[in-house]
Amino acid sequence: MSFRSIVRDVRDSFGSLSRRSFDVRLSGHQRGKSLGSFHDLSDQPPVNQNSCWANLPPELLFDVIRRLEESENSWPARKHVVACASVCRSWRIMCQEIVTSPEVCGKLTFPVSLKQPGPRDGMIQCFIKRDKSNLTYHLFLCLSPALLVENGKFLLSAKRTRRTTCTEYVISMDAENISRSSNTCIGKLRYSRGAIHFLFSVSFLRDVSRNTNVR
Amino acid sequence: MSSSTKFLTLKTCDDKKFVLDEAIAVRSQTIKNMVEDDCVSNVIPLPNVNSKTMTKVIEYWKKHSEEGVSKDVLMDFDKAFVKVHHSILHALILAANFLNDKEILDMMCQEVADRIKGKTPEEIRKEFDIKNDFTPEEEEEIRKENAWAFE
Repeated sequence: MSFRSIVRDVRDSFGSLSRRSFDVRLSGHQRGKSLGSFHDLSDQPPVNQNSCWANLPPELLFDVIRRLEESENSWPARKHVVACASVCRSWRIMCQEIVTSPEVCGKLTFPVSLKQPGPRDGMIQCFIKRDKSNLTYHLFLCLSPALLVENGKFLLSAKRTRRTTCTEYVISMDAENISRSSNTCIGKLRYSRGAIHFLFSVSFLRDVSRNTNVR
Repeated sequence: MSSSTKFLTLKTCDDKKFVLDEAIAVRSQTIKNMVEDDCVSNVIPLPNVNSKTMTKVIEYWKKHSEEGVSKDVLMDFDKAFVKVHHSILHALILAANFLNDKEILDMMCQEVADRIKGKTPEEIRKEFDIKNDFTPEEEEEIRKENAWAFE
């Protein structure tokens, strides 16, 4: 085999490799359209009537929001990143581009973080407040390692129901309205004869499938 | 001033001319590259920067090029320098980006990030004069997100 043919072989295999990875990224990008992407900024028509700040060149907007994201890295300050993502479309797309999933960055940011896989190394410290009188449970994120129970960021709530054959816990993202009919309901956990079953709500599964395609 | 001082003339987009010591003007990497590549004739055009913004930039360059200025004085100067209307802040960011002056760009981007902090979305829109361009459905999703975050 001549040197030239080896080079060509190697180049061809590189070519097919990069083409393949591009296809994968492209399909993920299209399916995850609702979450937006950095590249969407340039796709938008220039007829945007918004102020100069909404149309800041992407690389400069990236610089600004990255600074905010890095400095506000723990709750409750993290809420300022959520506020920034609520200002206008271009800012929201950029925030979602910069904020990675908890699996990658180990941080919770948007409520959708609760429906995404957690960090593989390290843990997120939480505590549960039990209210025995009305059988509810509230999960909080610890804001300091000292475990001050009054000092937490609310994450999830649950309500226990005893049935004849099992015990069910309805899990919700709403602190007050813990019901299966609410669209904040994540699903329920059923404990029956020593076995635990997770039953997820339709809205939860929709969110999960949408997010796993992107991240 | 030594006799070897070279001066450059900068011309902004509104046709105003600024005569500046080359040693100061090369704080801009863009200008520095032009000088080093020897593609500077008499006048350097700055098509993306207006005179009002350039005046601010030069004010900063001169202060930071002065000899014997203490760190505290410079810090106070910088603090006052970034306290401008958001439209000037915006113009300065674009100018610093065009002139490739990392020092000014960093300072301005940090100022914008600091102004975002501690505000609700509505307060941020007001601060930067940004229109809410979300659809009602997006708005509902955002309202829920904020209710959760600000709980």
